[in-house]
Amino acid sequence: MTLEIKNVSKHFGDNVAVDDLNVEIPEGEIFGLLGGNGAGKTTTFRIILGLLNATEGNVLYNGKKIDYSVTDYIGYLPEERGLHPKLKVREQIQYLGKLKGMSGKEVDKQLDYWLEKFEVPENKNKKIEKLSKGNQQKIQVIASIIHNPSLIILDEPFSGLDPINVEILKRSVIEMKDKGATIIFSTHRMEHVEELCENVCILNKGRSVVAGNIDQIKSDFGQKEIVIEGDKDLSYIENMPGILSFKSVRKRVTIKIEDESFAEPIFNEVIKQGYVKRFEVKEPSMNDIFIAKVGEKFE
Amino acid sequence: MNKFMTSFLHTYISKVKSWSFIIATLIIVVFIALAANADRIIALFDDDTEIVIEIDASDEFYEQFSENLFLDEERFSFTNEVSEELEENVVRVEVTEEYPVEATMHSITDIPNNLNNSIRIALNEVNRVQAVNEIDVTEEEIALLNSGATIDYDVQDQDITIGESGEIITFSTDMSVLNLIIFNIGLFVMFFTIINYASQIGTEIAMEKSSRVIEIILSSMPPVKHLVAKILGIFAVALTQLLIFVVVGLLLFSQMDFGGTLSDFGIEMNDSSLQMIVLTLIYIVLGMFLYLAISAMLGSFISRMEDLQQGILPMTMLVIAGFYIGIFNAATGENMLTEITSYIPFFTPFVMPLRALHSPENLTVQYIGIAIMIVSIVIALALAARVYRGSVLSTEKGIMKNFKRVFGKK
Repeated sequence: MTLEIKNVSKHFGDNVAVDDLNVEIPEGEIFGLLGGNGAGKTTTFRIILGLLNATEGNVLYNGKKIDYSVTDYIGYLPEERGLHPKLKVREQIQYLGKLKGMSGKEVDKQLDYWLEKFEVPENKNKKIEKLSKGNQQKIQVIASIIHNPSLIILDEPFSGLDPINVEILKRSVIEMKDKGATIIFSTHRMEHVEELCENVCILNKGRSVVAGNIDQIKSDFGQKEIVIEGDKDLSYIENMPGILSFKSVRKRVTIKIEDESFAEPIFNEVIKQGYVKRFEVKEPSMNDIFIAKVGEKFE
Repeated sequence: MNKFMTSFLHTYISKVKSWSFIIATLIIVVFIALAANADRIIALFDDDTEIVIEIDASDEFYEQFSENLFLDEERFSFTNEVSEELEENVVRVEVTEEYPVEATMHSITDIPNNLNNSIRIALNEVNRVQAVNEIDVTEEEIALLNSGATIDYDVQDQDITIGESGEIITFSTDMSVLNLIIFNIGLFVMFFTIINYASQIGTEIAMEKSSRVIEIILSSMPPVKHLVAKILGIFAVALTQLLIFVVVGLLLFSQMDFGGTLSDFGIEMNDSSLQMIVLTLIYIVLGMFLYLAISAMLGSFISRMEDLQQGILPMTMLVIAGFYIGIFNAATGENMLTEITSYIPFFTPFVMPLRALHSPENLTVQYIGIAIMIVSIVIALALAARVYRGSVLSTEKGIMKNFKRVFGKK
């Protein structure tokens, strides 16, 4: 077990930011920490890093408490981006790399590698304030992984990046995972979670509402979605038992059902009408699960 | 390289390499160079055009006038030969009435002020002598008219010197003019370095906080270590700048006869001068350290750059107050105000050198002053560290909110 968050709570006065959180993240895995705004994700990260002390509980990394003796093996991308605006990219990364115990030469070598990877080698000697926001973010991501950490914490890594750069960052995250790093990241974008993570934890108001393997969560969630495409009028199906919602847009009908057992009677009813182009029973998306569990609108 | 040195060197190198440091240092170096060459510069701008004063009057009047005319520049000369046409560089004093004196001064360009005064004084004197002769007063009576009241001073504690025009100059025992100069220079250097570098550390910390880069830094090293590295980094920058000034100053002043110049002004180096220099330097260093710690603490309360000036205002006010107490009491010496404020840590670095100036023999007070400073620095650093640790990840917008967060209930 690489990282264990055990019964962690954090109170700010009367406000409970994290409430009895328990998470175990195996080594070499990408883990998604999800939650709406103010759910306690950043506070959890800060507690993991030792930047904040937990009111209760503790965090163990390879069985030990996290302190400044292990921070060289941890990479952190904070949610609120910021670098020294007046410094050049190389100066900034040199400073942050050396703070992680690297030599100047090592930093240079790694910086060249990652700048190529993020397709911005021309920015090496530019001042940070001269870079676009997206490029500043790439530099900040580089700062958090320059020292090849074994535990990487990325707080909203994809926000502010265009789709092309999101793909570059995803590839880099997978590359770091393949090198053996354990990665925890938070995001609002569920498609990224489904693509990258094996395990997730959804926080709501500081409490874990769902946690575990994504496939298991989807399977346990019960609700399924049926998609039917064809020319037939299927509006009469709407009143069949087990249907939670019915949506018909042009030739496509999307039905949410309580569980898979309700799919068969619907299928039998539909084929009575004759040929349909498509009848598919889909797993719920993380988006659906998130909305159902957190009960809030989000992007 | 350990993390402390990384942070220290990062702060030091980025500051020393900055344009603001290079330009500010160059400007002061130029000023030092100008000061070292002041005599040559003055000579450069000195007007050396010769001016002849022509006195258009009777021989008797001319004789009396020339006896009373004191010219303070070699380029001025006078004659009773009057040229036919008024030329440039000639001031003609046409005496139209010899008693009471009435005269017209003719010239093509403006008459230099000092020359104008000399001529007026001489004309007045001739007029006065003639008037005295006219009313038939004896020499003794004239002497009596000219004499002032005789006053003797018997003050036990202080040396009283009577100035040429009768004013009282009070100097405490042993006060040396050179020490006064050292004190003044020290005070100005202290004021400007503290204001400059204390604001810089405040700015640095507020900038790191507002740009959130601090979160990455603190995920690598403990906050207090980072804070102390930063304070020492800025301190080293200030020392570097001071060192540059001292070296440049010594190099330039060694080119000129500094001792001779001092002697020209009647200033002598004595045993207390070295002591004064050492004490002033100690207080500059200690004062700077204290205010760097205070400013770092104040900078930690700020989350937005626009609050910076407001945040470090208390420090600025203290520095200005200390500076004024020092400067306005420099000549008058020790009094109740300076005695009390010299033991208040914020003012000690400004006021203690003043007490060293007036009582160089009282070293005990100085040791107490240094001890106060060292204790205060330790307390200020501890306080700054606590505030920094407590507020560095806070983005509370108001200064007071941050204050409550640090010192309020946890």
